[in-house]
Amino acid sequence: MEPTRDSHATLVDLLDRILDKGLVLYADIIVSVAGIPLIGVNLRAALAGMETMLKYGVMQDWDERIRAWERENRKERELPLASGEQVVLKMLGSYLYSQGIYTSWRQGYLYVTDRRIALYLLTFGEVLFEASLQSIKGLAMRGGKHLSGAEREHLCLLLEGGEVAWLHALDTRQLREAIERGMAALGLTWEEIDTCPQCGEEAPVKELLHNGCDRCGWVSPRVKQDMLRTTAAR
Amino acid sequence: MQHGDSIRVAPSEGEAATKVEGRYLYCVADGGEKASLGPIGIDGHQVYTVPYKDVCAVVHDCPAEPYQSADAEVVKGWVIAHQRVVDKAWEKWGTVLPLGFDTIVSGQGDSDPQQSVENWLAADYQTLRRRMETVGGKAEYGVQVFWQPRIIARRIAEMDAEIGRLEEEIKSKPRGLAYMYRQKLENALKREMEAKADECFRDFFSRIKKHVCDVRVEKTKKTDDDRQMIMNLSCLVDGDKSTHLGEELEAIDKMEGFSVRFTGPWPPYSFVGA
Repeated sequence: MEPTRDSHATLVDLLDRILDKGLVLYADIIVSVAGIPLIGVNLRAALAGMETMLKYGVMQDWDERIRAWERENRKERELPLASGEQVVLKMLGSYLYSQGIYTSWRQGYLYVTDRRIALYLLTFGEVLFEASLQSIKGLAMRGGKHLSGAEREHLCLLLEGGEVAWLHALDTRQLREAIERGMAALGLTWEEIDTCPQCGEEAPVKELLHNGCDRCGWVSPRVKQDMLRTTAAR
Repeated sequence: MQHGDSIRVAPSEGEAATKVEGRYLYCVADGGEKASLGPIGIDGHQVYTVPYKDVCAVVHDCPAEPYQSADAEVVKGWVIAHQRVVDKAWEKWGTVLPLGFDTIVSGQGDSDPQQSVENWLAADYQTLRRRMETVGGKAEYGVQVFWQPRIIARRIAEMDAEIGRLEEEIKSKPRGLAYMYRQKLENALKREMEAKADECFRDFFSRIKKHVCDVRVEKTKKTDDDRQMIMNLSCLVDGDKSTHLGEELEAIDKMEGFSVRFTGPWPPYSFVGA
């Protein structure tokens, strides 16, 4: 289904938006703002032909109720915590969400607690991503394109089982520090990770350099040399 | 890009200074340059930018009084012109925070309106930047789901035992009693319709929200045909992800008794407010 915007029918949609919405200025320098007394009413009256369209639907009570339900549902809630769990850092951020061919940066609050990291979607009260600190095997900062197309620093997490998570926060470095502090407090270790030059998968730097890539079998020239040397010695 | 004051439309000699004591605001755009968009504004006014740091307000010079008219055609013309300017700016700078119709800034005390606009941009700079971050690379779409109450009611009557029984009984009752039964039937049907609408709303809502970054639930509207609107959403969608939403909506549109209206892309009017 393709969206439309150029037919007469969409004029009502446009009016709804332009007359009732948009950025609001709270300043005494404003002469008038549509939607607030005077002007809004005047313009609405002028559009009397559309009044029927602009009226409430038939099931008015139902409409109010379902809207209230939705408002209630999306109220800003906090990430549900396990008993005794402590929030160390809460920061606006985003997570590269992908499912099948669908990938996009989803925004929410990044929580770092004393045991996990999670991205909580305020809008829908959902935990979109979470990982225990124990499951983090490696970290790296990477440049990359973000939402607005601007170059940003991203935090790349290598998790147990080889899963990779990409995060971005208002202050990505602070996010990384919070995770590292949390892991250190738990006595966990982590490694710097890098991209395999052959297959592009993320892996710990040391492992890559010393053992080669698990996935594609790439080995560093140095390892190759060492191997040749040991074979030659034999 | 042109620079300097030459691109601003200065009031002609004859005009009183009071004529341009205001600035009509169209949107705030993600660009810090001084630019002219030409005479594309409301009533053909010259549209230009008032930059501050890396953002700019898109404006035209006007008297410090609201646009008002009792003529629907005139108002429609203004609204369409407003939209055209916002669209142009959107195209040019990629990210815009649109303002509602008739937002006019006046000078304050001795300062001219230009200064007022700059002061406002400076004071709200952080908020504006943050909003741009949230809506950058995204567009708004209108999604309205309708059903045909008659088809839905018929299906409910077929499925619901109590309603079926009432319908049967009415046939055998004398007129007075039948009237009472009919009332009973209508109430039962109304209850079931609302429960069904609830169910549909939640189902559609959870299917749609997978494909959007944010959503606003708007009031449903009366239609001019026999359909009934059961859902009216404004959705904020990531750049090229509207096709996913479109596919989901197509599935709903194909359900018997249901139809969907999908409009956009609009500038993110519903996601830049307080």
